[in-house]
Amino acid sequence: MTRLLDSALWFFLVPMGVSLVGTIVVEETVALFMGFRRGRDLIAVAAVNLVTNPFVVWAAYLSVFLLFRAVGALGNAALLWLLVPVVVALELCAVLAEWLLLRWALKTGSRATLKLSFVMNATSFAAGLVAGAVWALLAFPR
Amino acid sequence: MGITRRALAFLAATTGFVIAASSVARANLILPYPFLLSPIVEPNRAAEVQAAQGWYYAASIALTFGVSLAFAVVGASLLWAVKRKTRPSAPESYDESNR
Repeated sequence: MTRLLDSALWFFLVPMGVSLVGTIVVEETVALFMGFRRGRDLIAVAAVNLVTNPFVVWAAYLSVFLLFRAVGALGNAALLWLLVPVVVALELCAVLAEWLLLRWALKTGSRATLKLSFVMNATSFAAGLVAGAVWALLAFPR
Repeated sequence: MGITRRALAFLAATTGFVIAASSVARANLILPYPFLLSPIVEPNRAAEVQAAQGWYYAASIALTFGVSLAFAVVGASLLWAVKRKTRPSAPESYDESNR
């Protein structure tokens, strides 16, 4: 049981927390730049991230597990390339969910919230790529 | 250039940079997959150890789902509070102010 909690904490929950905090910081910054500056706008942006980000990370973990079980024999590189469309699809689901939730909560323009959701997610995804690359370089030096 | 195009350009440039850096460093940097797979990919271990690691991974995913659900409940209640305090605005008011 202790080993399970230890594994869950370090391999799943800590990365999930880092991803959530990083995403909220990046997306709040983007929202500020895009003119969503009221307190309730910023609370709504943080709240939609609390709803979507942990589920996206969880779905990515689940995909890794299921893909490994199904086609693990193909090797890690093949597994990685199979993961790319899965991750892109998950990001598109996050854009859609955040757009609908922001439009519902802020009762504001559909086009503005769609643009906000798309730009926020594109920026945080790009920031996540860079952060992941830096982390991989530091953690797995060649 | 519109902000959406700028975001797309940023995403494309970052992805290109990470792929280029990945080939220079001869490491796969696109996703930190060794980290994600490390609980289940240890080829030199015995089959029963690998099975136990698979079980840990599955149990951890279930635990992570519970944590996600808890975060979603907090987020949804915050959104509900924002919705209750927000009056409907003109349909494209932000679009107008951002032009």
